[in-house]
This record gives sequence, structure tokens and C-alpha cells, in this order.
Amino acid sequence: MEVNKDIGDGIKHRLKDLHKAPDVMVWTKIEADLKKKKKRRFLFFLLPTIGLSLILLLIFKIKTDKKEATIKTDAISNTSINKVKNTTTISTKINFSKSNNNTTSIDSNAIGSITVKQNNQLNNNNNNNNNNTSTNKYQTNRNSKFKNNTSKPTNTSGYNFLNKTNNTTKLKTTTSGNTTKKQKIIPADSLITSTVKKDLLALKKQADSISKKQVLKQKKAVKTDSINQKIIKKWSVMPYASLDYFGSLNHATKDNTSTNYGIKLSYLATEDISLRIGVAKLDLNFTSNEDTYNFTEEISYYEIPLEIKQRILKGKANTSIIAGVSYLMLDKASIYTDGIENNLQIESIENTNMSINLGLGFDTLLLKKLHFVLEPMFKYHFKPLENRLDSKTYTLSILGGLEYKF
Amino acid sequence: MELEQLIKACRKNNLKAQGDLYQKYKDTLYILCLKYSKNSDEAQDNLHDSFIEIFNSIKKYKGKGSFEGWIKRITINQAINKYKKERPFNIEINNDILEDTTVTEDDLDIKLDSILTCIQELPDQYRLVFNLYQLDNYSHKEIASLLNISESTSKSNLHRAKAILKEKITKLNPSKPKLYYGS
Repeated sequence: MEVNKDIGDGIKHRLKDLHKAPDVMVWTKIEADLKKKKKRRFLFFLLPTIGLSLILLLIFKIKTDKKEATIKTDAISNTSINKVKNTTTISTKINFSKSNNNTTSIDSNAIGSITVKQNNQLNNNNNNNNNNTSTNKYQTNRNSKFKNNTSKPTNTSGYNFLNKTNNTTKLKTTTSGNTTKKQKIIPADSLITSTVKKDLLALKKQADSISKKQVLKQKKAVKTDSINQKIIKKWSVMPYASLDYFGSLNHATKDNTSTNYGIKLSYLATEDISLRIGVAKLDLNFTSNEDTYNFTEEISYYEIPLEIKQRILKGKANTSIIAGVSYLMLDKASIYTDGIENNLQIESIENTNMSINLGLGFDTLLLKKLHFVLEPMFKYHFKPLENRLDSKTYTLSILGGLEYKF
Repeated sequence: MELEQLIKACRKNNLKAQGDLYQKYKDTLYILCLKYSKNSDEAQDNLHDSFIEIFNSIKKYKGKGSFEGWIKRITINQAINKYKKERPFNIEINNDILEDTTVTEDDLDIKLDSILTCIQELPDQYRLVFNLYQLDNYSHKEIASLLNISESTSKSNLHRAKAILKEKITKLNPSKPKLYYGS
């Protein structure tokens, strides 16, 4: 008697003996695809590495340039201070010569020696020893001259007027023996010396004050520059949130409200260019319709944006252009089919992704160090969010944040 | 190479290990693909896609449960995904007519290729439900969730698939013209 059995069980039992092998070409194609994917994976990691290296190189270059600029500024400021000193010396020399010409018949040698001394005094304090030596020289000369010319005391034209009061005292002491001559000599000598001395002192004071003022001004300017440089806030931190419209270039989607929130750290590389890195959470939420079913997908990524921001317009509200890339790491994904959770397609969602970011930035000062920032951004994802759909996806977002500079 | 080492090497995208893994499981998965597909060409396409997906997702395999079970599930999912992509509309047939789906052993005494062809010729949704329930031990609840149909539809589809198979198989074996009615 034949035994009846369910056809399903019968087929299952029979198929256990089925032996089949696929065509060799299947592996050839798999192998080719795997090699292609390897190349793509290599590029996927190569691109951000190149981007990061370029940013680091840029930072390094900017820093090096700044150092060079600071050294140059220092050199320029030193040169200008020296220039100021020299100019003062020259002007003093000219004035002094003029005044001498007008007032007395002081010979050119005397003027020359005075200007030399003046120069020496103004140029550097380190030259004091030299000055002293030269003064002594003059003193010695004067004394010898005096000794030789005691009978002709009126002939004072050969005197060196640089001698100070103590020298005059010496002069007085040496001539104390002859009172009549002394009386004649003293007024003439004292007249000339006192006028010249006064002029000298006045000029010295004037020259000193001018040079000091100018040096001080220069120093102040340098100081102010350095202070100003320090005041510029190099770093800033910006917590932000954005509302994103998620879309696909080759698949119709709906209910595309997505959110993105995080924090960005910026470094002001130059006056107008800032580099920034951040960390954010990107929650994509969208529904696609396949046949009669609605597939609602909730995909959450950790986003690491690397961006360059270039200010193009200054004003109450600064305008900038932004370009960069974001590295995306899958956090979690859920797919619902008409409300029922379905883990079927999750395996086809990429674990990592990248996006190219382009946008505009507007910022305005709210408080002392606090700026309000508004940035409309466009982000195009390099890889499809789902291999199953091969979707070319993008996000359009409006980012709002508060930037604190420090 | 041990399976565990093979999996580790595949996680590092070692092409040789991937080739070895393919050689180890290609026949098992190919038979699975044949049952879920309309023909051998489609089965080979599915096999290709399945292995690509296996190598892409192998990092997600945590070693819990059988590896063979895991790769079979991926292969079945690939077949279902392909069906979902291609189907023009969803079939929601709740046929209450109860047909006899029993056969004798002699009825099934035909070539294995013929039995396979009969399965492949089933309408897509029937074939999927029959394979999932009858050959791969999925419950109607699981099938309903996977195919986005109701449990009753799944049951009905299964019954209808069996009826069609019986009809085809008995036609292929004319020496046994007797049909059994009643379940």
C-alpha cells in the first residue's frame, strides 16, 4: 500500500540529494568586483588623508610665514629706530653748525669736534668710553694749547668748546696767576663758552627729547602692533544645530526631515581663512516608496567635518564661503515597512561614508566674543546610503550656531 | 585553513581567503539560489551578489551561531530583495479552497532537476513562501514580515504553491496518474 505524504516534505527530502556547482565564471566576476572595491576603498581613505595632509601643510606654512613676518617686523622696527637716531644726529649737526655760524666765529674744527661728540653721545651709550677718551684728548690738547698761549689769551678760537664746566674750572685755575689778563680773557671766553654751552645744552636737550620721543613712538607702535596681534582671537568653538532636507538624485523620497547637531572647533589661520574640525550627530529620516509599500528609514551617523572657511565680505554681517569634507560613521539604522520594523535591508547600509560639503557662512557679532552664525550647506554623499537602492544622496541644510572666540 | 582563520583573513579582505571561502560554500549556496530563482542564470547572479554581500558584511559576523546559517540567511535575503525590487505589484491572494497536497513516494520518483524546475516555475511569491516555509523552516509570521504580507496570505500562498507543484509533478510522471484528494 502506498503511503501518502505532504508534497512539501517529499520535495524537501528529495532535494537533499541535489548536487550542483556554479559556473567558474561566477568566481571570476566576484574576484574582479572585489579587486575593484579594494581600489575604491583605497581611494576612499586616500582622499581624506590627502585633504587632512593639505590642511596640516597649510597650517604649517601659515605658521612659518608668520614667524618670518614677525622676524622681519622686528628687524624693520630696529632699523627704523636706528634711522630715527641717525636722523636726529644729522639734524642736530646741521642746526648746531648753523647756530654756531650765526653767533660766534668758532672755527670749523671746533664744530667738527662738537658734532663728532654729539654723534657719539646720541649714537650709543656703549660709546661712552670712546667719548670719554676723546674728551680727555681734547682736554689734553686744550691744556697744552693753553699753556702755549697764555700770553695770548684772546686767541681762543683754537679752543675746544666741548669741555665741560670742570674744564673751565681748570682753565680758570691755570690762568689765576694773571688777573688782568684773566679779566680780559674771562669775559670773552665765558661769553663764547656760555653761549655755545647754552646752545649745546639746548640742542642736546632738543635732540635728546626728539630722539627719545621718536624712539618711544616707534617702540609704542611696535608694542601696539604686538598687542593688537595678541588681541586677535585665533580659536573659536561653535555648538550648532541644523535642519536638513535629505534627498536623492535618483530615487523619490518623502518626509525627509533630518537633523544634525554638534560642535566645531575653528583655528583662524590668516585674517580671512579659518580651518575647522568638528564632531556631530547626523540623524537621517526619510521614506521611500517601493511598489505599494512605504519604507521608512532612520539612519544615524557620527559626522566628522573638516572644512576651510574663507571670509569674502566684511561688515556687520561677515560673509564667507565654506568647502570641506565630512567623514561619516554609521551609528544605527532602522528600516520600517509601513510601521513594522524590518531588519532585512540594514546589512546593505554602508558602515562608513563621506560627503563633500559646500556652503555659505554668515556671522554677526552678538556680544563681545560671541557671534551668531548661519550657514546654508550642500552635502553630497560619495557612496550610496544603501547599496540596495544605489541611491545618490545629498542633504541641504541650514545650520545655526553660536561661535565663541578665544 | 580552519574556518575561524578563514573568516579572520576574509575580514582583512585577503583575496585568497575569500577564494577559499567561496570554494567551501559555493555549492551549498548555489543550490539555495537555484531553489529561490527562476533559472540557473538568475541563480548565478544571486550567488554572485550574495558572496559580495557576505564579504562586505563579514566584519558584522560576531561568531554567534553557525556561520553556514549566517551566509544562508544573507543569500535568502538577497533573493527576497531582488524579488521586492522586481515585482510589479504585491500579490495578496487568500484562497480558501483547500486542495489536496499529498503525493505518494512514486509520484516524486522523477529526476531532481525536474523537481527543481517545477519549483522555479512557481509564481515568484509562491516560490518564496514555499522555499521559506517548507525548505528553510521559516514561520508564517517571519515570512509575513519579510515579504510584507499577512500571515494568512503566507499560509494561503504555501498551500497554493503545493497544489501547483503536485499538478506539475504528476504531469511529469504519467505512469502514476492517480490523484489523491482530501487532506
